[in-house]
Amino acid sequence: MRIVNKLKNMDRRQKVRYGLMVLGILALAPPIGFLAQAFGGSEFCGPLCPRMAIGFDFPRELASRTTGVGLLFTWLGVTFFFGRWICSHFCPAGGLTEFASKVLPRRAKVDYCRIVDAPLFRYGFLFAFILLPVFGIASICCAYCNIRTIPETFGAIFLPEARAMLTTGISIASVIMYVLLLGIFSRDGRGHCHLLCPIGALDTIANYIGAKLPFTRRTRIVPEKCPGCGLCVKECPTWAISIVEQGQGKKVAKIDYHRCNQCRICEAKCPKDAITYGLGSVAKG
Amino acid sequence: MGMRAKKLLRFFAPILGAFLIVGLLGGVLRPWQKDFSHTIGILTAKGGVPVHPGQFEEGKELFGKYTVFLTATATPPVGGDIKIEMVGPAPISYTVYSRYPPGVPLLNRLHHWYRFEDDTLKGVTPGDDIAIVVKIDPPTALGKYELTFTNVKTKQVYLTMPVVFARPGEEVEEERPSDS
Repeated sequence: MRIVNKLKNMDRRQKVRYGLMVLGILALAPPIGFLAQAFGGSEFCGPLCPRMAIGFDFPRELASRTTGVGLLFTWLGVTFFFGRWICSHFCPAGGLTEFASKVLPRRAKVDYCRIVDAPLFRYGFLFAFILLPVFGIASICCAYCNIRTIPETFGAIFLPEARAMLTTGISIASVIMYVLLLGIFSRDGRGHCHLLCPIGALDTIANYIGAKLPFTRRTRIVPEKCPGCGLCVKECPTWAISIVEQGQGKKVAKIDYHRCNQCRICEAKCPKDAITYGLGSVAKG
Repeated sequence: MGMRAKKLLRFFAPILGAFLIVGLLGGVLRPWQKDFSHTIGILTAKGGVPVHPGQFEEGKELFGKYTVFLTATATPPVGGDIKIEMVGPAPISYTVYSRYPPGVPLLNRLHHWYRFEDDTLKGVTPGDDIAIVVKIDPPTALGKYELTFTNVKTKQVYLTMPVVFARPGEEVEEERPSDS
């Protein structure tokens, strides 16, 4: 009953987001994965994997696995023009751990984005992910992949082959890291998205560059309307909003697009409707 | 410590932290977990190409099992019903699971799914991807075992994937990819 009431009172944007997250899980996670099936796979891991194209194997990937490369470019293109919709609304890896983290109270969770400078850590991870295998120091492709581990853990509830994979040392380490420590036990259930996802790292670069252009859409602050109350700062799970001096003593909120995950929680919280999803030419963040 | 040094440290600490995590995962933790092997191959009419064979060390099983994850593609004209077997110097106990077809096979008109029954992939068509998980009990005799993919009707072998069980530090004859 409490859950029903909570859903009834939920902001429309969040209802849409949760609906799309469920759709993303059905589309790309076992046991259904209908979108993956259309491309000859059963889940995110397989022909649709967008992660394998990142790195120095890109030319070979482009020649041999066009669906994965296509998904990667679609993902980044959507982000460049419209913001991080796929990461925040559709990715099953982030969606599954976010849903699972809802069962825990806030005090049981770690706010990684507050402790660590998430963008720097994420970009460091991306560089290490690409560079270290070149020098033969460490290769973590596939073995410790959040996009593989999280949907597979969910799939293990239904499928014996997923359970068989889960009882290996490598999967147990990945489950502890991505599903538990950086998933269920992180503030918004998306610690792995913010810190250890190479797609997420590329996505935030596309998000940051695109946000500077007037014809792209993002969650933005309208400075004229913003009272600088800081309500949005407290609500943002990624610490993407800060209050800055705009001159003549006026304080306004500012969004850091290296951090913003486009979850749109802040839009609902603003008492003056100063946060809106729109073009850069209409409202500058 | 000066302000400049503090600023530099604040900038580089998360980046170095990320490098360290990747190094620990891929460089330290991964080589230590030897119960799992990802093998890659290609099924061909000439006997297949074992691109990346499997190798295990004695005593490194987890929960009493070694795990082989094999991914392969069936190149034309490979097709039909394909039996998966593991053979070697001694009888070995194993269980094969297939990732395909998916748990709820939909969209069969867009993508044809083969079936998996009794360690046999039934109705494979050229171009199909194969992804199987093999859970293996520790063998009674060490040595080179082989995971074979054989056409049930014609008995033609499409792939022979070596899976080697050796003592820690033991030199194992390196497999070279071949198409014969």
